[in-house]
Amino acid sequence: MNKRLKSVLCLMLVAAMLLTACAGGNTNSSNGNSAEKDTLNYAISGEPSTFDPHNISDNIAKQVFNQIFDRLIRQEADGTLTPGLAENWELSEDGKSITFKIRKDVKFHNGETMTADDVVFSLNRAIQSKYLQEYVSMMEEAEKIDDETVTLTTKYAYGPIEYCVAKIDIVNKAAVEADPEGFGRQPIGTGAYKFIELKSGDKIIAERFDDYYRGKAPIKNLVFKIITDSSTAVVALENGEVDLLSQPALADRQNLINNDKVLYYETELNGNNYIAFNNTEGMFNNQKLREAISYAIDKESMLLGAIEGAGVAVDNAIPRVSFGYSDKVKGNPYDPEKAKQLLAEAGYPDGFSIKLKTMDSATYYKPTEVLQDQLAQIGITAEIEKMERGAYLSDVYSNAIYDMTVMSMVYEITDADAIYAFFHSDMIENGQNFFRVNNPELDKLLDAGRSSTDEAKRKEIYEKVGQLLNDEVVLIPLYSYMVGVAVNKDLKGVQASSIQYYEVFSFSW
Amino acid sequence: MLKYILKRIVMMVPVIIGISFLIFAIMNLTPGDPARLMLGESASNEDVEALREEMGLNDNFFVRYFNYLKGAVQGDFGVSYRSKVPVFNELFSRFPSTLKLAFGATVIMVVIGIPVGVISAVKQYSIIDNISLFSAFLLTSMPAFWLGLMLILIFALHLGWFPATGVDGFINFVLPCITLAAAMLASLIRMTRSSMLEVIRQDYIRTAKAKGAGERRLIMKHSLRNALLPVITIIGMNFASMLGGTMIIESVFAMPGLGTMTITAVRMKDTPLVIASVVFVAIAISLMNLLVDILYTYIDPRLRTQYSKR
Repeated sequence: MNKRLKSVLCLMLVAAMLLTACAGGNTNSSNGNSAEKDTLNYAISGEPSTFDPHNISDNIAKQVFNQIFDRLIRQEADGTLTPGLAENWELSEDGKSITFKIRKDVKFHNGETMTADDVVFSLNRAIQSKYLQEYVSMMEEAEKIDDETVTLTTKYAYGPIEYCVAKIDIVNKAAVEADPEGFGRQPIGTGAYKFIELKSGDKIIAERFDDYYRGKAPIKNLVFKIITDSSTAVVALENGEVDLLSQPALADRQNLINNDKVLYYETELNGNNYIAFNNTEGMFNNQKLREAISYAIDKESMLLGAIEGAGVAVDNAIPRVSFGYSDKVKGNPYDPEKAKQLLAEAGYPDGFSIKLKTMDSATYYKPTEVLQDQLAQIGITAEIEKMERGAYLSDVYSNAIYDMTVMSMVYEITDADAIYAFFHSDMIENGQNFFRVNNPELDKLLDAGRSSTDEAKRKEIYEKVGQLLNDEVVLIPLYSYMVGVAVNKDLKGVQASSIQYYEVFSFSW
Repeated sequence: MLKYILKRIVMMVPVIIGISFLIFAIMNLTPGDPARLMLGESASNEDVEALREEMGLNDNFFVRYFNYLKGAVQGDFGVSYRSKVPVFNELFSRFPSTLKLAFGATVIMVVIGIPVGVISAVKQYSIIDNISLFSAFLLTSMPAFWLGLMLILIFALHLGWFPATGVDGFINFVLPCITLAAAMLASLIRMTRSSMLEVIRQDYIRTAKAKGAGERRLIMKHSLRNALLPVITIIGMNFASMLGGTMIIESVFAMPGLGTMTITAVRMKDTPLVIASVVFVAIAISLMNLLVDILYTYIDPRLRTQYSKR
């Protein structure tokens, strides 16, 4: 026993030493030669549940789909629209239909040529999808006119229809019909990279598609590494194990900017943080009270306290980078004295206690903590209730069981119409009007903005919308924040994107 | 013996049913809606409601649990709400990494823990004993995520010896296994030490010493073998609990294990997947306990005769 145990222990030690030694050599050589790099490791923070783009509503999945699929209209990193799978398109006179001329030289990953049938099939499949209603709720039907022409009709004239078309991925009809369930595990698109395999929880492997209609991508292999812990993702980037990390935590921003192995690009996000009120149920149906709160908010210190100053204080609910934003829209200034006075007028001379629901994400709870402090200044005692994401969304978003909350909103569409779903009274039952605001004047303006195609007129309308939302203090816009992408310093062609659109096709080593 | 094993396995059935009911109830009674989580913030209530209907979430709680149980008895444990893949496929695609991690950590734990524990006991109150006890305390007190990040910073980022993420090869498992072993090492060292101390004071050790047995023989053969019973229990329990996945370590080192899968499933309210992974852990722990009990009889002849009498 004695001798045997001893020899086993010795063997184990030797084995461990040997293994560590040769392994050490391995990493050094793989990290050493970046000159012949032909792989890009793209960090994503979770695993998409499916690769069927019409059956998922998930920002992580979209980062993968951006490489595997294409759309009729492309929305570039800066938000502008350019032709994609459609050579050109035309809006009808009444604005209720849009006709696309389809490219003839586009191949799917399975070798088939893309036809008008694939396009019609994809559009109609997306229109039916519960997951994509944000983009397709106004669409009626797609129809094939001839082999190169497809017409999409809408239920009503819809100004920003092109942005919505730019969100619909075109899939291979035959592949979906052959195995609708399996398509989610083996997707076939037209994108610059073709899907190879998913290693559950670890990585997603994709490879350059040599017949891509815009040419061959410079980087051959694309690997999405699933890294859920944000600190680990940053270390992996610094260590060269991943080459691209989109939207790193704001706490890591300065560290990444200072790091000489990493380049950090940033731009303003198409969205903002704001204080939302339940305008009809509960204490905040009292406009005086909402006004009182609006004078109690110091947006500049909110900006510093919540996101370390990496953003801009705003007065307009419409994001700064969206069409329809105007800086003429003004909110109430910070004036705690006036706030106290209004509070008394609203019937709360001695303040009150309130619960602030928030969720377990720094984007939400940090500004909520600052809000708690600022409310205390005018005698309101706020208690923070940190909830699980699912519970928070179900309470606040689906059922409007809240009084006041700090919400963070990111819009996919760089057009002011994106806010329609939140503020129109039709959206109380079936949309996202969790403000429960029901204001006929606001409805009228939102309808007019949606159906008009005259840019100057729309600008004017949305200026009025922004001001009206402030005058009635439906919400208090706080700040818009910076969004970044951190990449290996040798990676070329990267550009920060306000809509989080990163196309590996345009990158090279 | 065989009868005993069978009895133990049969006894697991009510435990598993109880656990599945408990998890089912917890997942249903806590706030949060899987349909809303799947469709995202921007989906309308109407669509969420339609998906709930489609997923059968609107049926009565007991009806749903009964249906689930009916399927489970026939071997159908349901599909994941999110990925629509049968839950056991999901489970087993993640299991290899977790198994490797647990195994590696156990090996490190045993190779370091038992010798250190024995030395500590033999040289009680010496400097070596104090140092080993102190480091054991230190290691237990360090949160795993912190230790993991520190190891990454030192050995991955500065020295470049090991990768920080992934599961591609042996090398990827070194840092996570060390982190995992560190947390469990303390209990093993302390258990080995106290168990050894107890045995060393027994009469038969004194007798052996009086008979002139060498110190090595005395420690290895006479003491250690007798001291191993509680030590094996600890190793078995630790190993079993690691099989359930170690969320923090898997998350810090970006490993595709059961832990990260379970935590995602809980967040997404993916009830079938949560039940499957918890039941899986329960079975693993029960089997591990059984295995430890069987091992006892090999180590301790007294128990062997007890079982054979039955």
